[in-house]
Amino acid sequence: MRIKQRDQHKENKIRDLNPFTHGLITLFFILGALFFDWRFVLLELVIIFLLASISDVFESFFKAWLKSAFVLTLVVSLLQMFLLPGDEVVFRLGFLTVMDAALAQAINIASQIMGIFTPLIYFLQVVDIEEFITMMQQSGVNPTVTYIVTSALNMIPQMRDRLGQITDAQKSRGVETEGNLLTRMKAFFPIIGPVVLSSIADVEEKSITLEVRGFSKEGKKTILHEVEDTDRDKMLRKLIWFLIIVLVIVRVVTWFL
Amino acid sequence: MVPIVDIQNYSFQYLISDQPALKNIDLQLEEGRFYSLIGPNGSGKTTLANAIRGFVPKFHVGDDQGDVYVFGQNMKDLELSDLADKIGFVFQNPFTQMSGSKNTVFEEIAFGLENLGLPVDEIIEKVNQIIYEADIEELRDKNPLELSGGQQQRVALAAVLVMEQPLMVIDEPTSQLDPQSTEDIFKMIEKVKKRGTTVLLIEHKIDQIAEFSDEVIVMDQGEIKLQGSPAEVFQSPLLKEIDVTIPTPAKLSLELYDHGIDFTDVPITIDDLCQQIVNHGRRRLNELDRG
Repeated sequence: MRIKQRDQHKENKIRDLNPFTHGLITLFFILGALFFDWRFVLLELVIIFLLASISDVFESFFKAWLKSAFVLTLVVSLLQMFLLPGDEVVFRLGFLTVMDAALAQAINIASQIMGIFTPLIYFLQVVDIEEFITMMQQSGVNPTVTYIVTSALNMIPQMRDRLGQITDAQKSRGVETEGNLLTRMKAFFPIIGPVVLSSIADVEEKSITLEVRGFSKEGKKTILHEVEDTDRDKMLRKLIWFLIIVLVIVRVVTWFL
Repeated sequence: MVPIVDIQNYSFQYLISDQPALKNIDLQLEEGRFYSLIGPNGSGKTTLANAIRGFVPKFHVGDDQGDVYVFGQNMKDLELSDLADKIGFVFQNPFTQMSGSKNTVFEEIAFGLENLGLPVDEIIEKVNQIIYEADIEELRDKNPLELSGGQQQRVALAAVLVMEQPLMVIDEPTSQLDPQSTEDIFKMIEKVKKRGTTVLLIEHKIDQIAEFSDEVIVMDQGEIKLQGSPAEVFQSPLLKEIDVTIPTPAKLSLELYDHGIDFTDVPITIDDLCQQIVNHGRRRLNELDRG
């Protein structure tokens, strides 16, 4: 029985790569962004945009990238550019002045943010997190760790719903939850307190549920939906590890030169 | 025959409590029988259920005395995980019985079998079978965390049933459910009974208990006060002292007695009541004929 998403995208060679392979590609790009300057990141952006296009996720990737990486980069680099000091004025924009050192720093920080967030956003578009966690389990990661990660991700929407229910309950008891900042701050503890306390109370019963379902039983657990790890994936990961080592060596050598 | 559960002079007190929750409990549960456990709130029913499953004292810490044997082994010598394939446990809160790590009902039900290490083909076959038996086909691909309370409880019951444990402990599964969901749960419990699984059901819904049970156990203040067949227990005057209600057919027969209609036995199920009314009618007709 195969994972549904991978069955859907089996014909797309890039999308069909094993989640760990995608993870390693992401790691390669992130390390490159940290080790090298804007020129590497520019190349990285071109490659990732190309990969997104080939993987049929360009639209969702681009939207997510615009809303997050692009906006963050723009805001941070503008602040750096206009607020940091320097020796020489590069240009003026009305009453705002851009100094040489500030511009260099802004470019540096912009490339790092772009270089880290862009591959992460791409990773989240092409990889099913459930598959990634299954791969972790297949690789021998403790099932408790994978359970914690999965249930934490699944619980976030549930806690959001519970927050809504408790907010309504507190409203019906006369707690003001809307209005100015002070009003909303006053409502914070009457709402958050019950959410946190009820979640803690649920943990005890959840632990009992896991025991009842044999979670702590010794022995190898079956994985209903195994994720395929092909020879192609394994070869590719060896190549990427080689490239990562090359990256590190080049960085170390250039550091000393 | 060795009883599946053998509790010998067992007492338990929670650490934060100044009164024991269980006092000198002696109880044996035989294989293949359906036991119901009733009593007022705070009588120790859930604590007893937890003691049978081992959650007391291994999970809920406290001081205990006496012994609890399950399948011939002393609970003190067992780990909680040793009992996963032997004792199923369903409790009140439907939401916390969802593992929170599965995206579909199918996977949720399969979770226990994955933990037991069964082969994939066997897991798929068993899960498909239980989905059909539990009549939850329409829920198969839904996210368990997005189901209603009643649906979650049906899934929770199915997820435990699929593990085919020889003993099921079911603690007030319908207390948080609406009437329709309650009826759905009892339909599933009826199927459990037909399987021949040994069941200990804790419930306040006396009419259903009277229908299903081979034996009824009544608790009050941490002690077992009564034990016997439903007919024996529900006709005992001790029930009124303990403030436990009797089944509706029995209540009705007592009301009718006050109006001069006397049944030969106190009915405890609807079928009993109908039969008693028919028998009473026949007796009256015979008397009229003779007269």
